[in-house]
Amino acid sequence: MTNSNTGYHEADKYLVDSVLKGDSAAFATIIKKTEALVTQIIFKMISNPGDRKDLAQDIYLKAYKNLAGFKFQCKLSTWIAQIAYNTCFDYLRKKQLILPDNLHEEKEIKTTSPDEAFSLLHQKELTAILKKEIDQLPPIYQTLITLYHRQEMSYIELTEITGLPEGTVKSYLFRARKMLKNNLSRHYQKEDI
Amino acid sequence: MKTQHLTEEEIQQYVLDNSGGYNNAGDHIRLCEQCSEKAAAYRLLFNGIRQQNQPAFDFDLTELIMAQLPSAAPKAAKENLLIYFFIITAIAVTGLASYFFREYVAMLFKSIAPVLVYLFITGFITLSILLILDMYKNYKKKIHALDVYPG
Repeated sequence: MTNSNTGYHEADKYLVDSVLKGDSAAFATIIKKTEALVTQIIFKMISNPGDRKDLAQDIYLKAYKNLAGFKFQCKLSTWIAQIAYNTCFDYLRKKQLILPDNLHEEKEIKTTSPDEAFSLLHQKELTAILKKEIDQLPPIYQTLITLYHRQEMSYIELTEITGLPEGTVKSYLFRARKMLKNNLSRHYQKEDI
Repeated sequence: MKTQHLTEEEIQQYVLDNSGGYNNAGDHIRLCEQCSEKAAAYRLLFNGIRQQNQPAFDFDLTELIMAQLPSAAPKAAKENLLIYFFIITAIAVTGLASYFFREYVAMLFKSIAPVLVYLFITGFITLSILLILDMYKNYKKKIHALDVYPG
């Protein structure tokens, strides 16, 4: 185990022990430390704002109740992200939203040099358009792409959170990036016309 | 140097590795306009994702959760203790029964025709294989449910 791993491990252990001894303020610290990650997962997987609030409460209450069962096999934040992912996934499964109907299919772009057109996009404009395009992706793709590129999580952490094999995570990320690039190129070309 | 165009996967990997150095993909990208444009597009895309705003709730999440926490500190789940209890009891009962009735068990196998023993073993193996196949099928089904773009 590396020094940095030992560091987070000890910090996590201290927080968990404090909560288990009855120090609820330590749980507030856990929430603050993991809020950004959990919020990302909820916002990427759940589109209905009303449900997001319920799920956020559900996630942290589950984490609190099961804290004694946390065995420090991964970071505490990864464990809570795992709960967040599974809670959102169960919600989507119940609502049968895992396979959205209105997906943008990958289509080959026949016009010349879409990538050049895309690279001409202004960064600010790109960020705005990209947000819309990311929102069009299936929830799992949105989550993976955000956690990997925005939250800078590793493939290992993504497999721990989602429970998917590493190969599947890599394959989903590859497809998500390709779809985004193609959709953005197409979007830019429409605007250009 | 690679003379054929790079695949999307190779270009993504090249950009992810931030390869400015000289390698097969890098040498090709420096000389190939088409692949170089693709790499530039991916670079922009990754920067764009990094610059996305962090979403936030319009309420104080910590406050909301803290107001709902049960007053008692969380304890180890009782279900786990129950499971351990049942496993230990089952092992103890089986062990004791095997010890006290070992002669009868030995006699049982001696009195059964070897054909029946083989039948029993074959049945057990067949059932195990079927169960494993079923588990594998279920696993594939779950993975397929996640895989929105199979193939």
